Amino acid sequence: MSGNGNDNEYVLRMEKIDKRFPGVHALNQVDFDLKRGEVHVLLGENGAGKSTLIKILSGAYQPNSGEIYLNGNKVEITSPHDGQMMGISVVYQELNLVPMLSVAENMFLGRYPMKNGMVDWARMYREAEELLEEMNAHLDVRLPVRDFGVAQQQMVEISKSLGLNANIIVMDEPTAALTEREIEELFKAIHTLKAKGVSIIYISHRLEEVPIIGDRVTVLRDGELVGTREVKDVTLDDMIRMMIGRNLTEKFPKEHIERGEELLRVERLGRGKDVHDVSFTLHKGEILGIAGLVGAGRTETARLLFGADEHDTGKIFLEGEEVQISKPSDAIKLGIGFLTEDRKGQGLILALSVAHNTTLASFEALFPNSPLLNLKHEREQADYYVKAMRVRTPSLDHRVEFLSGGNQQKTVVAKWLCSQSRVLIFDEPTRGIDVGAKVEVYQLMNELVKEGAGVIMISSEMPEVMGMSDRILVMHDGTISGEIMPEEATEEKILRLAMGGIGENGTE
Amino acid sequence: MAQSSLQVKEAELEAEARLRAARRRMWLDRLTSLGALIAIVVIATILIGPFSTPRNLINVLRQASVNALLASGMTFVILTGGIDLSVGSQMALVGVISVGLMSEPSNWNPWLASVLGIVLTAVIGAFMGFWIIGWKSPKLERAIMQSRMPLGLKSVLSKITQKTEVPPFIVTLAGMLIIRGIGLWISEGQPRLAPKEFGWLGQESIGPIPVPVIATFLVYIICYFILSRTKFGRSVYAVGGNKEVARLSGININSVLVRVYGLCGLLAGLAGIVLASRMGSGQVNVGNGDELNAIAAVIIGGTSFSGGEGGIWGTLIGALIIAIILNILNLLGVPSYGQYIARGLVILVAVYLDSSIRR
Repeated sequence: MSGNGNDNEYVLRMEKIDKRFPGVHALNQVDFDLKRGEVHVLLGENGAGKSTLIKILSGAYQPNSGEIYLNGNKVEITSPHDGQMMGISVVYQELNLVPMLSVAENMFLGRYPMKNGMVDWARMYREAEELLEEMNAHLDVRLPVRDFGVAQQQMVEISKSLGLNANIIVMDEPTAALTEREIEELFKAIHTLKAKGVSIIYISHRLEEVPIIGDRVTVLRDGELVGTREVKDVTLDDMIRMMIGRNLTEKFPKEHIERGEELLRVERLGRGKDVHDVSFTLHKGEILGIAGLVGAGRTETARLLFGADEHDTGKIFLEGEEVQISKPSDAIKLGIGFLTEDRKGQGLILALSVAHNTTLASFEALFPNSPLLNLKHEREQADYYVKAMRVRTPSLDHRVEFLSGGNQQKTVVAKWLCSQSRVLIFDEPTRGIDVGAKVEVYQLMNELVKEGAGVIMISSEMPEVMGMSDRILVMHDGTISGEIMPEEATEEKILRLAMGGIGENGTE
Repeated sequence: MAQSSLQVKEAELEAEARLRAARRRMWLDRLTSLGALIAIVVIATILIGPFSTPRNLINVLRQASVNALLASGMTFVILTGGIDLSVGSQMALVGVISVGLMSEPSNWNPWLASVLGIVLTAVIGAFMGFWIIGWKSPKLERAIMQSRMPLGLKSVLSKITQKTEVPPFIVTLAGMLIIRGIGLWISEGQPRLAPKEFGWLGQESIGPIPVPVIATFLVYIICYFILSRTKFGRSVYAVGGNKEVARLSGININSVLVRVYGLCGLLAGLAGIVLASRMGSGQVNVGNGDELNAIAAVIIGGTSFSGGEGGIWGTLIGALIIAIILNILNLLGVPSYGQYIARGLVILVAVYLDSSIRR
């Protein structure tokens, strides 16, 4: 591709980009280019290398090898500031705004317009308003950013990029936290940007957005380029095949186990506005998938079940008997384990060893009615579960902080098995762990249900939900909007329920 | 989502690098404070003649014991990520109250009076713990809501009675002032003379070893046992490491915190008794600023100021380092301003070294 003369059309070419981290070949000779005024969608699963590619483009990472051309000129982008100067802006999912500062201050952060050694507020407000108006956004630029919703904050970020004369804007999952209407607004804004000749790299997990917004699509898988296509030439199925690369059964080693008796029953569980009227059952030997969009109340429901938050309505039954769960220790005593989405913040104590993390929730199970720990017994138990979960660690005394994401996740599973959990709630069990480790986590789930446990799996990844569940519940707006058997589930059906049944009968 | 896979790689990258550092660190961690202690002792022995005489060494140990006792309780508090600024005042209060009870006109049994003083500071510590975790009274709340107050007052009161946490620094700062004030009030600023037999704890020796040194060592063994072999001890590390994880693992973090501040109060009380016994009197003006020495000992001993990491033996070494440096400065005839400067430098250098090695 190098050396061809059509540099006018291409604002960006990245050639044979290679990046290694210890133990991970994050990017393997990846090519990527971007035309003026196009929306180029970047697709790939977690760990496919999308973020690494973007970090290299923005200057946050340096590639081990490879070349970057901007408007035909070879460049080296050594820092994010460098990248900004060259006209590359990234709008991250977690927006980089200072909540307490005003919209205008955020847009001119670090480069306030000055007059006589003082900030020229009038000019700053005026210019901020002008930039926002270019995007058809009308906000009071004097108000602090925290007063605005995610969608409006996004507009502030995009306008800020324009103020920096960005001609390449990277949007990292921009619609993840937006409502339908806000997404429409965003798409309008993207069209405005295109009309100005700005090029956009658009990262998303929502395949159905690709035909609406994209011109071309590039798929990465396991750090390698799978291909770049014109959007009009590919179907959804093509894209899925490109992303996954193998068929679903290899990826999801689902084993069907005879469903046992009822283990858990929840009746009209609710708390405030987040969760209401949630009812379902979980059987022994069953993996119950819970799908839904971000903010649908899935994690909140799990927290109620586990006592992390107290429910104000509803009943919980375990093996047919009503139980009271108002704090985590209640749930742990009853044999409920909760593998939180945020392993580091909520699942593990990073400064403690693998062994001590494994037994952390099991003091009462291992040493009932005694204030003492029997260190020898504790160690044996930790050893047993760490080995059973195949946690790869140099020793039991190794700090859990130094394990890989997959092994940390397995340590969390070990922790909840050690506490004799019969009901295991996995919240986004494979988020942020690499492909091989994912399969291992699925196999662990298989083994758990074989032993008679029940698993509740909350997941935003449709293939995972469809590939591993025995039954799928879909949540929308704090309650369950439908139940589907995996045989008849499609992404479309799940999505329709997740959006509250929009489109099914034409009403919202 | 894309973000998190990136974080994983960043974390793995970091983890690799730190893995190597970790092995090195495990040794250095233990060696820095102990190594520093040994180095100081060796240098002092070579350069300063009177330092290594048995009499001086025993004197150093005796002087170290009160601070070491204060620092033992402080270790628990700092391991949870907290701090207790009130221990100096508590020490003074115990002296005033217990010695007051055992002297004229009450003439209590000195040991009974001591135990009572220690129990009192334990209760004070736990009371501060309740402020730190936040008071919660559903009964009071209900009573307010059902009462016939004006609506505005009701809403203000119900806000006030909602569970509100106050940072440990603030609670114990207030405690430091209030307890000091109560001590002054009770004693009217006058020292109380203790009966002779009370002096045993602070002044006598068993063989060549002073009683307070033995007592301190026993306390450290018990603290070690608590931290390493009990559910409570492990919970202290868990709460300091990550409160949310500890809570989601079924640990009652409120109970742990109240007990930790109670234990710190108890040990401050014990330190106060040992000090009063050594001085043969209860004085309200003792212990001013001693909380800072205790904190310094904990930090020099390698316990992380943010909690979750560290241990009791490091604190013992820290307390010894402080005592030895003060002793050396005294032997060299350094005036008190120089001693302050030296102490400040020791803390700064110790934490600097510790952090740089941990990196």
